[in-house]
Amino acid sequence: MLSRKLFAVALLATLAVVGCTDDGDPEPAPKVTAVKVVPFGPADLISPVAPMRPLDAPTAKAVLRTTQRFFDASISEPLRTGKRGSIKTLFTAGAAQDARGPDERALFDLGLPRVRTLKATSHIVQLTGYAGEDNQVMLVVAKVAWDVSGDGKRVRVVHRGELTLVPAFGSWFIDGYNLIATRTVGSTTTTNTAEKK
Amino acid sequence: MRARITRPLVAALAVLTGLAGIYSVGLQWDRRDAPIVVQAVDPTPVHAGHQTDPWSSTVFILVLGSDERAGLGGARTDAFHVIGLNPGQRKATILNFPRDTWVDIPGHGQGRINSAYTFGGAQLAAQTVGQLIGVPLGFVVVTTFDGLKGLVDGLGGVSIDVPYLMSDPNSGAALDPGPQTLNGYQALGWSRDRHIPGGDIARTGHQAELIVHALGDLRGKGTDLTGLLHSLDVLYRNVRFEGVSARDVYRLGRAALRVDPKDFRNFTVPVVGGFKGPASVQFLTGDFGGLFADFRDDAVLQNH
Repeated sequence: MLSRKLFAVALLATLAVVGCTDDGDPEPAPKVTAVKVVPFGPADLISPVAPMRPLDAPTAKAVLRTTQRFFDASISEPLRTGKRGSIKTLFTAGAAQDARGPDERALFDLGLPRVRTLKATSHIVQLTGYAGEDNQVMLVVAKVAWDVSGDGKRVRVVHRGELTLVPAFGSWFIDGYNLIATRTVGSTTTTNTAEKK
Repeated sequence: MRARITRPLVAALAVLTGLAGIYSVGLQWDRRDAPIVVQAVDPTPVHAGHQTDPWSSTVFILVLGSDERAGLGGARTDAFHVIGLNPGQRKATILNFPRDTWVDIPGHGQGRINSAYTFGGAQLAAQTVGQLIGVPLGFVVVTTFDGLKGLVDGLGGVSIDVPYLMSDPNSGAALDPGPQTLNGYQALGWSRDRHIPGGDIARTGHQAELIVHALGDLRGKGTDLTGLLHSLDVLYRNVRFEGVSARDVYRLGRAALRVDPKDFRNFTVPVVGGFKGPASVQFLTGDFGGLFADFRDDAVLQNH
């Protein structure tokens, strides 16, 4: 019983701290219907030691999970809250540095009006894996084509390009990207590109 | 005496540059008889003080066309090209060496450049030209006639603007002038025919041109990584890789695809005909030292 009380106190304290460290915007972030990325076409695995074959389902699922997190961090969260979503454990160290730095403008839909509704006319991901000499998947390229509008057509963002994901610690991390983002608000359109080899 | 034939290398180049495939003897796919081999060699024995890391800012690759055939020893490489890729600048250069170019061959005195492969295989060929130019050649592509034909056909042909009528029974060249898409057999004739204006010197330029155009056709099919990976699958079926990791193949492919073919310089080293005893050879001439210095710093020719 005591531990439950302690847990509740700790939770309240944590929430209080989180609340204090927010950006001070009194307007709560609207709840936006989640957009799920969907695989498109066959997910192939290219290997130096075997004919091309389908990428195994667990790997494809894990890569899609990371890709979904990137979608949320780069599009859904910024449009909903005005801030990028968490990128903790999303990128490898080198990629994270650039994603937080010079490539942030291209990767994340920041500085756009917040929206209450999101609708995707394209949210597809095409996966292609590449194996090493041991026939284990060493990287997966996720080709993305995302076209999302908010609050009707008040805001529209289009992201196209490729993510390169690599495995580590039982998960998949974004290690490279080559993306172009086009954002339209009203009659104003801006385009940003980012490449991380 | 066995007829000397030129070995088209085009395919190999395409391999190196754009697609680079894979394969290792003893793996699930047995490609011991593959007509194209990409081999890692020791890039260390070049001029002292020069870079030795094959993955520094530039990548240097030796492409050889060999007349090797089953049951016949003493293969020669009548196509001899050094490719320098500079992915950062998105530029590249192909230096073409006529087969009779007279050079120092480590451990064998002097000889025609095409005999280095005969004496010591890919390693000695790389060492010979690596020391001559002063660059670390970490990879060597060796292709045969069959390799060239197969790769060009696998790519769906290569676009070439044939400058004049080519009709040569020895090489099999039978081409009308004008832009056209060559199939594997025609590409072989284009690469082998030396009964053309400029003779062997012009032919070596044709071989390099084929490589660049093959790369251009590949890029035209898409330069993204998804396309690259599927191109690698084609190469894995046709190419044997020796000592080249899947990661290196991927990196080679990425490096090559960053260069637009219009930014590929095709340059034949300056030579002048002469004799060594009764043998007709080509001597390097002009400011070839300056040319090599211009090439080795970043694989881009600024002054030539």
